[in-house]
Amino acid sequence: MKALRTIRNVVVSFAILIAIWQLAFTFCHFSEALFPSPARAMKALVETFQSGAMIKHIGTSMYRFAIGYVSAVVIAALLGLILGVLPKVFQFVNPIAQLLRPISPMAWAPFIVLWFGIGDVPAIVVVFIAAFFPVLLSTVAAVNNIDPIYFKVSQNFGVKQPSITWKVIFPAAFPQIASGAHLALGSAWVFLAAGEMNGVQSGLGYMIVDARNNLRTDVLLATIVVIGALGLALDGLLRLIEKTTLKAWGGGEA
Amino acid sequence: MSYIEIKNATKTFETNGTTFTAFQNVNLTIERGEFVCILGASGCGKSTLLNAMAGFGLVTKGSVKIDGVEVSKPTPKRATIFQNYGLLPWRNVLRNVEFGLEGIKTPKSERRAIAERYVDLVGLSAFKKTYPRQLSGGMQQRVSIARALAVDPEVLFMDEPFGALDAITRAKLQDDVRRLSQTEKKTIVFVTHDMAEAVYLADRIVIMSPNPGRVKAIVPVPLQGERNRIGKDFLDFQNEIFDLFHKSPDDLVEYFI
Ligand SMILES: Nc1ncnc2c1ncn2[C@@H]1O[C@H](COP(=O)(O)OP(=O)(O)OP(=O)(O)O)[C@@H](O)[C@H]1O
Ligand SMILES: [Mg+2]
Repeated sequence: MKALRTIRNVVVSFAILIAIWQLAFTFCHFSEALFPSPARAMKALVETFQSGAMIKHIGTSMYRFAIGYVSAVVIAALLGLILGVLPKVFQFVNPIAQLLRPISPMAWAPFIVLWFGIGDVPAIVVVFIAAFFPVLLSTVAAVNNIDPIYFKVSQNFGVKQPSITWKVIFPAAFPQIASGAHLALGSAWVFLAAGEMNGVQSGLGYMIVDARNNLRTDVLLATIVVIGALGLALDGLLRLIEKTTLKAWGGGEA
Repeated sequence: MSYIEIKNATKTFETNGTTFTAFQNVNLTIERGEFVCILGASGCGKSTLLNAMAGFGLVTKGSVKIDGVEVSKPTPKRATIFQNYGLLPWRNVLRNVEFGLEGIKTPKSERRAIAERYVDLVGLSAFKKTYPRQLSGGMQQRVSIARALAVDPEVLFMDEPFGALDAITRAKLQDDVRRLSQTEKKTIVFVTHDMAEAVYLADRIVIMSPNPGRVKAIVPVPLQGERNRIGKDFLDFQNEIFDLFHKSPDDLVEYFI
């Protein structure tokens, strides 16, 4: 019942969005080449899917995203666990992380292309950077937030390092690591498309650049819609994974 | 020589320049197999004293010896039970009890059977696969007791273990702990600020007073056999303990042993 209502709300809100779009198109007399109607964009969407181009670019983008995002989460979480356990080391790493974190991954793009050439790697690196810092910092914070009683109990029963890291610290920090990873997913996805605008000839970001160069604003909008929809779907997927793993983690909601 | 010997023990905390005395010149001996309750108002240093015995925070002056050896750190030979249980929420009941066994390196093949036995002992047979979050506070504390007993410690240190429970659950768990103390033959040091609880459970009651924390009196409980919470001798003795709280330390010499 609740799911049904959610679906209804989503349909209604999208219908409103499309209606506004259609109204804007009807009453503002832009040329259709500059501002495509919903129907044109929809037609372009269908065409790009039928020609197979869209599927191919989605596949490429997803491949880059998966590699960049998953490796960032794994490496940042491991590093975060280590730094969380070693606060003295983190004191030195933290200023560096704080300095690097606010720099847009795109600022590195010229270097990335210089160092990693063209192809899949630059986009993967951009996604990696975008996801890395949020996960690293939320993991360290998660470890620092662990209830000291878990350490007392471990100490009492003689559970020592390294067991304590994977028996206590990781599981205790896991929910907060997962929510950090979830937040990072959004920003990594945002930067994927941006990362694909340099040094590659494929992917959704490339499709946008290509559509612009060919003045195909309808294809451009169709691509934007796909990027949005995929971002939403990935978010939903991660939410689902998060929910099921957290369930295994503590037997249900808090 | 007594099993636990605390001599002239003082514990101070340094917090940004100022020294705070949590307890001072505490002398206390506890025999093997005894059930001792430490009774006192909030802030009089009960937990700090218990932690000094359990090895979580050592005394600043004096000495705390168990079995002739100065306490230096916690050991599985002496299990502590905390007011907020300290269960691992990502492990079910059995796996929580197994956690202690993993710590003392019990072979994997034996852990499950031992854990099952102690979960049965605390009456949670039907909840072996349940996660802590789905259990009531009383049940969670039973799990933590099972986890402690499973490693077969010599001593149980309990810090207001039933403080967060309702009166009915509390009474039930008091019965269980009393029964366990007799069948399992453990030395138990039990911190509480509930007089009736101390009178119901203890062989001896250590009364502490605050500012700074010190031992005001040590009183053996004269009740024999099954204790009746509403029996006349029980209530009379509880009144006696109540009076002790309000006496100045000078009147109390006769109670020291
Ligand atoms: N780590 C610490 N640093 C500084 N002061 C502390 C520390 N631990 C305890 N104290 C102080 O020592 C005093 C005694 O604390 P303790 O926890 O032993 O009291 P308690 O008798 O167990 O009280 P309660 O019944 O409230 O648990 C308190 O005033 C407390 O503020
Ligand atoms: Mg206390």
